[in-house]
Amino acid sequence: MNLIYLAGSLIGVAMIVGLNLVLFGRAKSALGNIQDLGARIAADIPGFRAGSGIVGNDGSVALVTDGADSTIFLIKAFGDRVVTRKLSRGMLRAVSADGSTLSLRLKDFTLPKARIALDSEITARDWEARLRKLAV
Amino acid sequence: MHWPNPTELATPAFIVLVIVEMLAARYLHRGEYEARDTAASLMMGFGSAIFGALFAFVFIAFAGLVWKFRLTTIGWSWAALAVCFVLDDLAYYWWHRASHRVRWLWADHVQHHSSQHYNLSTALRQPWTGFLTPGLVFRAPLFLIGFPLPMIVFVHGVNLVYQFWIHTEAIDRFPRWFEAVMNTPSHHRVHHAVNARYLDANYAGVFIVWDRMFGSFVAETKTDPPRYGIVGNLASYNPLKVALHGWISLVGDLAGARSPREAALYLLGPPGWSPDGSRDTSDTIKARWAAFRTAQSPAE
Repeated sequence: MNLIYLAGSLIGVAMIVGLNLVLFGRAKSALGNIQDLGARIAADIPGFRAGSGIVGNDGSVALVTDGADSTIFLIKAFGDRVVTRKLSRGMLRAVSADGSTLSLRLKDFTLPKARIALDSEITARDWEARLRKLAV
Repeated sequence: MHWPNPTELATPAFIVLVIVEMLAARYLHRGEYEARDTAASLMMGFGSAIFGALFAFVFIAFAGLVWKFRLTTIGWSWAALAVCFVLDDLAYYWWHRASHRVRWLWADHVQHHSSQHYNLSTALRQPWTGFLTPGLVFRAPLFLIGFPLPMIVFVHGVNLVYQFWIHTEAIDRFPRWFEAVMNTPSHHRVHHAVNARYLDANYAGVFIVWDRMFGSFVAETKTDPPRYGIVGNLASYNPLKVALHGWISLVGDLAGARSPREAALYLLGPPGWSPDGSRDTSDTIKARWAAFRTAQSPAE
């Protein structure tokens, strides 16, 4: 392995990523409504039925409860895909509501925090209270 | 005798084929690409080449040490090359299977599975941290048999080059005889899938016959299209985070272990093992899925 090989590889990487952007642009996932999100979770958890939930105003973060046992799931748009986290006890480091914005800090190396801008302060306070029970 | 490096020779073809697949995805709708995912995968490949070169001495030292205890010395011949290729692929199968069932090895191998896309760039999403695992012991039998070290390195390179082209959604299936013997895009899509029915299956490198022999073969089903990635997908395209997330998680668990037994099980147990059973392993996910299916259609 020499410097020319390394430099050539980096140029190749840049060209492919550039072509990727030209061909596909910057795709963004749309979370949809609570039922859509429930269906996504059900793909991983057989029998899952969404209960209550909230989707942030920008459509990039959501919280969905399991209709059967009230377990809360965090769903976040990630590029053209989504990532999901079950918010079990110990997973959530802290939660706070600042006006109508809900902020979560997670014990997760690649998803350390999430912010959900909501329409109403009351909704934010309600979910803060629910999540606070899980926070360490 | 000078042995060429198959991976270096194939690199221009890798680039051309990624571009061809990208065009097929765009204009024929066969496959999907996302620029940041592609960038992360390619930078993982770049980093893997660098770390591989930096830590090549670990391989050389280990191989040299074990080779001293070889049973015989095998010279160059086409027959020896063919046998070495097949045995290296068998060793790859067991290394790969262990890499999905032992958390220590998974901390490294998970990097390759961390994309939610499945395309030729995913093939290049290679781990950086193999030198932190005991993975080399799986190839020790080849050294002990007495195959020349350059021959082992060469056939392993050919094996890895073969595995590049099977990371694609652009190819559906091959004729039945080929699908029966060889690892193919269809078989490997199953391997990269997180659908419960597909977990822990199709570990083969080149010959899918190992999975058929050792009971880990699962066929791709049209009614359950593969969803790619890992249980608990990453929320980052940062190559450093991709490379380290498995290790950060493992070290955190080891630090919190309450006994040597717990620490040993975190290290050597399956990914997802926890003392209180509160986390999911692939076995618990599959068991839950099987129970659900049975409940839905008890007659099956």
